[in-house]
Amino acid sequence: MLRFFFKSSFILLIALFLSGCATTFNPATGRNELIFINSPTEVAMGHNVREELLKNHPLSKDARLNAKVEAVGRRLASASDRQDVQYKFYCLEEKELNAMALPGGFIYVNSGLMRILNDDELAYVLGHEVGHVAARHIAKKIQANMAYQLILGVAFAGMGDSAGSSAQNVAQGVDTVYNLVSLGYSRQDEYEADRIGVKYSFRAGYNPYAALSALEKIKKAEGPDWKILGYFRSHPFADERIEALERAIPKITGAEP
Amino acid sequence: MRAPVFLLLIFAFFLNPLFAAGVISISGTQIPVIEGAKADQEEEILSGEARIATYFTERPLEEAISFYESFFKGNGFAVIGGRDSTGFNVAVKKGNSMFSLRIFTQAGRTAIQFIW
Repeated sequence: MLRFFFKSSFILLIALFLSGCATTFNPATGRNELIFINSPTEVAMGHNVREELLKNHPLSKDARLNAKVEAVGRRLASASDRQDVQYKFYCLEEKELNAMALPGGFIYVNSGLMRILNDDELAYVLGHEVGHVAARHIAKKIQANMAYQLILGVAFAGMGDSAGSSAQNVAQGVDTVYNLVSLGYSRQDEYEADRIGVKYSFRAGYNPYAALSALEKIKKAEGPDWKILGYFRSHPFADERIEALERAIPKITGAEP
Repeated sequence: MRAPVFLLLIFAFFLNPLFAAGVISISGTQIPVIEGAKADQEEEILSGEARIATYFTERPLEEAISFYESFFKGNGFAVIGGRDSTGFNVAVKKGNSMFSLRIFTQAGRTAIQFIW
């Protein structure tokens, strides 16, 4: 019993020590969080990772889609609790129904997805990705899966005195970050990004219930293989997410206390 | 008798560079610790993938920030970030040495935190 008491106290003391030293309050999640990657470093990583993304995924040349993603995105960005990054929104010329956010606020939506969604539904999708950025899901995932020196290597890729920095290590680091982002997030993070995304789209003046129609449209468009293709491969648990949003939306909009 | 004691003191000094007055060694690069700052406990975190060392000083926040701004600028460090709402928050690189530095106020004192 005494051993348990001392062990628990020790763990609590370490947790308190760490929380006092390095945690910061995140208004998007409402929690104090331990994040070592500061915002400028995150943005620098995003710049370098997007170079990797754009090698294989071209930007759309469709002026209408580009104008739409920027216009809707700008409103979502203004609604975000996190304003220390400059959100940028792009459309990629890709048929696959998908969207992703890179570190630092670079948000990409595929043209295939944009073509089946109306503005309110697009606002939910962009809001969801802004939610991942605001909640620091990306930074947390990176710091949990990569050595800190490699993280800094990605941020500093192409900068400063490169003597001693292995270009191969940096390239590997960039690939690692890109793969981490592409694979999606935990169930908890997806639910949280959904709630935050709906909150931001509602704040920006869009219909919050469009989140449900967006997810249903994507399911229908992907056909019987919706669980393994496109959007739901990287944003899984569709039915559970729809149910969770149905419960959450009235609370988010204030229709229910 | 005095010589062995003196040698022991020198030995102890070099055993704990983190706690020695004046510098912290990060990836072989000596980074000055502002005069008067006292080290808090060094923690190893994230299963050994990152280390954090925090110092506290009575010197004002602005003085500590200016000290490191000048140091990085005058010694050819590449810098990402700068002053922010909490104080100072940068990632820096020179040669093999890369680390983050945060300077902020905590419990009325200025905290200087290195992460690498």
